[in-house]
Amino acid sequence: MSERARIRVFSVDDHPLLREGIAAIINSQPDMFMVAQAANAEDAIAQFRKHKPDVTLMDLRLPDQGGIEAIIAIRAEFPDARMIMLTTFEGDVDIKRALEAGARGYVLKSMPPKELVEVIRQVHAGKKRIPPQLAAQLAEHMSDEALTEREVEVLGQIAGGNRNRDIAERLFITEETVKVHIKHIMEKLGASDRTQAVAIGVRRGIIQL
Amino acid sequence: MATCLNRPRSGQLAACGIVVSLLGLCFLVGGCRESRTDVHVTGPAIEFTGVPAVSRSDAVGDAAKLSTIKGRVIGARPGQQIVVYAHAINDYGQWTWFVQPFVREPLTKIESDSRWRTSTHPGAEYAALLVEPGFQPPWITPSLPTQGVAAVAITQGWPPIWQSWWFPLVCVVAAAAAIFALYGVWLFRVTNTLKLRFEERLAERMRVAQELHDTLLQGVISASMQLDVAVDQMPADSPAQPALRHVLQIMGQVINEGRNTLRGLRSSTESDRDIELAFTRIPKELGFDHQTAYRVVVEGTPNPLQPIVGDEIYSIGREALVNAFRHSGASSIEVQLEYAANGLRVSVRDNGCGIKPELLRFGREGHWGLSGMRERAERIGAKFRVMSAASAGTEVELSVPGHIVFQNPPSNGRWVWLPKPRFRIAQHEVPK
Repeated sequence: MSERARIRVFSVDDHPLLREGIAAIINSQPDMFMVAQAANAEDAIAQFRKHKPDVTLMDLRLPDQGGIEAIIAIRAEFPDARMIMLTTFEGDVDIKRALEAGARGYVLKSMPPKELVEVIRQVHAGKKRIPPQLAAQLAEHMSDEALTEREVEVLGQIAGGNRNRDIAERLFITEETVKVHIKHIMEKLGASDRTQAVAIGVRRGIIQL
Repeated sequence: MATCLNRPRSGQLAACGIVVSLLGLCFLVGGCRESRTDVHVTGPAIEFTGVPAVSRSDAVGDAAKLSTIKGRVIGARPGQQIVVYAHAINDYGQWTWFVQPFVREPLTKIESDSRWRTSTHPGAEYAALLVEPGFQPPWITPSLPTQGVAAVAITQGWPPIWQSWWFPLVCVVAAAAAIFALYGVWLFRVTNTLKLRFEERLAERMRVAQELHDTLLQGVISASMQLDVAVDQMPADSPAQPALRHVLQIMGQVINEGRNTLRGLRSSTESDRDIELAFTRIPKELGFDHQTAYRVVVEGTPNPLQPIVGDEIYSIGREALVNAFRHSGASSIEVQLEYAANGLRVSVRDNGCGIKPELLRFGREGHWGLSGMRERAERIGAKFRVMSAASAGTEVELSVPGHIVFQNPPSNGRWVWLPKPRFRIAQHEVPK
């Protein structure tokens, strides 16, 4: 197979060990090879411009900005860019945001490598691909009321171990308002306490670890 | 008060205490003094409503001290006035009536509401005389005048507050109220400290989860990916292939468990609402469930636990169970969860060989996990006890106060200390 015919894959992940693993998988396939790697969003955009890869594997969490923001930035410049979200978690909110940003696939790092390469092939062929278990996760929360931006912010602060008073100070709102936000968060997530709200928030990808 | 006492929330407790204190104080100030009036003359009558407290004998006749004396007159005619005398010992050692408050102003007017009030020096007794207009009261007299006097009333000094019958009662009530209030404040602070600690720990968990995610999990995932590739590239008939496939499978399990731990942010009780179920599963999880009869008994009505406290309880119980299954050689092991209004009690009992007393006493580091269990118990403000006898097996008991362990401390049974005699057996495994 000639160099041009193989799928040129670009991997964006801040963990060198993981990039190594992905590279091993990609390069073991006869029909694809790793054309470039990046460890943060800024570098990802620069590398994309330089290499114009066929398929990009994007980590959700990057040190400078989110992987979803990176997808949006790249797609603003290259609307045809074919990107796959490759992450550890299957939070429905993350999946939804990634698809809205224009990702064509969403794969978990823990899935068997065969599935990953299969998704890469399909996305390269112009298809969209979400593994069934993730689709189910997405469907489960389809009708749930989404948290507002402010509520997400408050939830993040709770996860940071802040008390209501501290949250109020940090967000320049009153403690009463914080309490109201927390009440709404609990209702929307179906949580019975702060810890559970944070756990659900992480699980569903509303807040990131 | 009943409603207050029924809800053992710390803030309300403090409020109750304050209310009781105030009530006591009102009682103290407004004190219900009975009036002891001797009416000597029929017709108009004089009544005392306020008399100085009994004077010490050395204070009787003290010219420097003035106190208020007051009363009422019933049936006084216009123009009549009151003259007050105090009974004291004069310079010659004789009992004498001295006109009050001063010789130059011996008369006291009766107000329109028939009350009168003046000052007096201390005496052993006090007399109030209702006198006709123009009456000239003697300043000092061995016996009270009768001429031109319409009515007389004599009273002793009233007992001081601390001698009255109700004073000890008020003291007791006030003391009880103060203790109650202090208890409330203490409870409030303890609960607050714990909450703060929980928040700190939540943040800590997030940090640990993040680290786990960033280092361990990514590393294992990468290793697993590369191993997968390597196994694929092996010749199909390689003898090492099945072994490596097995390793791959284990790694997949580890990755999944790690992911679940991170997602739940808690290591132990995924079923955080149901500690009973979590305990029921332990032997199976640990691979112990074949030799020993194991059951989880729940008494009382289960009440949702504070998640972090629940985790700690689970960890302590699990450790105790691991000990029981691994070291006791027991034929029967039981976990008892006792939900009472004042807290949760968890006992892990076995009928095995018991823990050696010296181990029990010193809790050798890293052995039996006793010190770890004790530390965990301390962290959540729980009482931790280990009872063990060579013949009778071991019992590990953990008691956690209700305001710490329950999300909503029960409101209707603060004074019900005994657990409800309802038994529910969650699981009963017959030895095979």
